[in-house]
Amino acid sequence: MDTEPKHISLGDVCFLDENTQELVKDLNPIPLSTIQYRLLHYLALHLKGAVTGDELITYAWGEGAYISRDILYSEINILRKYLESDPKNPEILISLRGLGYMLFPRKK
Amino acid sequence: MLDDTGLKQVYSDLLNARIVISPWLAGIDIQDRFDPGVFEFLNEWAGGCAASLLSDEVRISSFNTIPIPSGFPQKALYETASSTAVSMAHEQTGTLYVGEKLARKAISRIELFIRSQGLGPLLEFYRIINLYESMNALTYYGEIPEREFLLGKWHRPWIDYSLDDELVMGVMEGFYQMSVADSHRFIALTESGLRFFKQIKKVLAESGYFKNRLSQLHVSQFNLYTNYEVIAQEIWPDASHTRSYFLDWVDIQPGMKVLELGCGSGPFTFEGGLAERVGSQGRITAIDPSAGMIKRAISKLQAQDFPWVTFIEARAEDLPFENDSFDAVLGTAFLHFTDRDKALKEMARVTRPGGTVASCHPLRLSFDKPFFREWFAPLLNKASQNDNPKNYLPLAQEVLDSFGQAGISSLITEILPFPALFHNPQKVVQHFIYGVGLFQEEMADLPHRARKELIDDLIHTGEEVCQKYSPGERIMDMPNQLIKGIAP
Repeated sequence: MDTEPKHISLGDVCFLDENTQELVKDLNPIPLSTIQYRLLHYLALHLKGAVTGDELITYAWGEGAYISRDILYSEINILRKYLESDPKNPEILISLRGLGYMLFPRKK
Repeated sequence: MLDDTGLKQVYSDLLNARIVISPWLAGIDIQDRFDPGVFEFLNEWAGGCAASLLSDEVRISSFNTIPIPSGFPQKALYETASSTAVSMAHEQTGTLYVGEKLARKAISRIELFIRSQGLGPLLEFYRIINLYESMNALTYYGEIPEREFLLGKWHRPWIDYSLDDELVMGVMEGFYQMSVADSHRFIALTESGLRFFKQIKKVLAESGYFKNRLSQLHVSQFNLYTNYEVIAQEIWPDASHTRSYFLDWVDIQPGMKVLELGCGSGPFTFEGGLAERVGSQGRITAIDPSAGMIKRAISKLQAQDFPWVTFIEARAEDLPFENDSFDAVLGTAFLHFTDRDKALKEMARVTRPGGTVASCHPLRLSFDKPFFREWFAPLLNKASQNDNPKNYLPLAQEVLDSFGQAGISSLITEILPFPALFHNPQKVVQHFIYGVGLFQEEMADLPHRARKELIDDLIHTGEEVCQKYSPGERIMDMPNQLIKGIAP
């Protein structure tokens, strides 16, 4: 069994644990649903790069899924509640009109 | 439920209330909603409003025995509020950015409308225009795969929700039918759906809806076209000489009081030399209906020293000036965007008797160059299929007649063509389709995906045409009319 910790850093005292599929923030593990984990994983792989809503939907739900963007938005909002100090004014998971989304490293 | 006359009346009431139901403005090619705070604010308002106002009375009078999906009224109100807000942003700032202040203003327009007309008519009209978009695409494609239909991929890419409610309703009402082929499910119109589509198309045409839909489609396209002036300079490099020539031709003198119409961001005022010519002893008032353009013009003005120039947001058809206020009233490339007769009457009114009224504007194009016919063949064919090929640019004689009818005398006119260079397919298509708005009527009834494919094809064909024809053969003269006369 692979017990070596695999962490993707999301900035200051915050990372994604690939083994447990948890978001760890200030040493507190936050359990994620499979979809939430995949979304955050994709965003983390493209840290500071724009990803489109369609890319995220395909990665998280699979090719050809009947998923409309409002379902994506509600998952993004949940992720914002976990990541942001003020989810209504996001500074980490940003929407870019015309482009999609961008994840920035957390700054403490 | 509204009959045809009722629907037309509601549309005219919505226009009077300055409410814009153009759902694509809320999201076309933008791929995201407003900032989360603004979205939540609008969405919560829409939910609350729908919940409190959708009474039994509204259900019966507007929907009779048709079931109403629970999410429908909220979506209708949200999309109406957001497209109204986006359209206000476009008018006031020239951008599509909506903050909470604009969102509140949009809401108050809608609440005012609902207080006098009720919620029902708004919901009914919203339903009809969305059915038009779906049914138009189903007519065009014959059938649409279920997933593409539900997610609006081919026909309503601006939606961010699934159209399952609409599909269920459509099948129930007998407008849509489903079939299975090649292990996929497809949606098509039934006979009765096609009849209903033809009927709403007729009503919407008679109400003037399509004319406004056209300009609202142009709003979303034009705003995505951020480098208009740079590309225009590349495509018709001589257009700026035409402006300077016009300035001499009209004989603007230092010290004159001048009104410039449709000034845009100031290409005639500054680069064209109008401000310099009139000088510090004179006075220039420059107007444009777009607040965004005025903003850009003012920021250009701040970088220069022309205290005798003032920019004001105003429309040519309704000039906010006293009679006989100016020595000369003129503009470049604006007359074809106005209601010409109204604008000229206003121009004559604010010019002092004996003063000059003048315009420099593009004329109707003839598409007879072989390279152009080959390049734009699909659109030219579509245009010739119409009973009445549409072209919003005027003929020289039509403009002369309008000047005469406005009481302007001693008319002198000159045709001064300037070349347009068709060298870079990507830029040519962007400039003429999105910027100039050529063939927009021919493209308007295409579903979104077909329109996008047509544009991609135009760029592709353009590359072939550029290989086949030499640069010298790929030049087209853009006819341009200069006209001046004496105000009564």
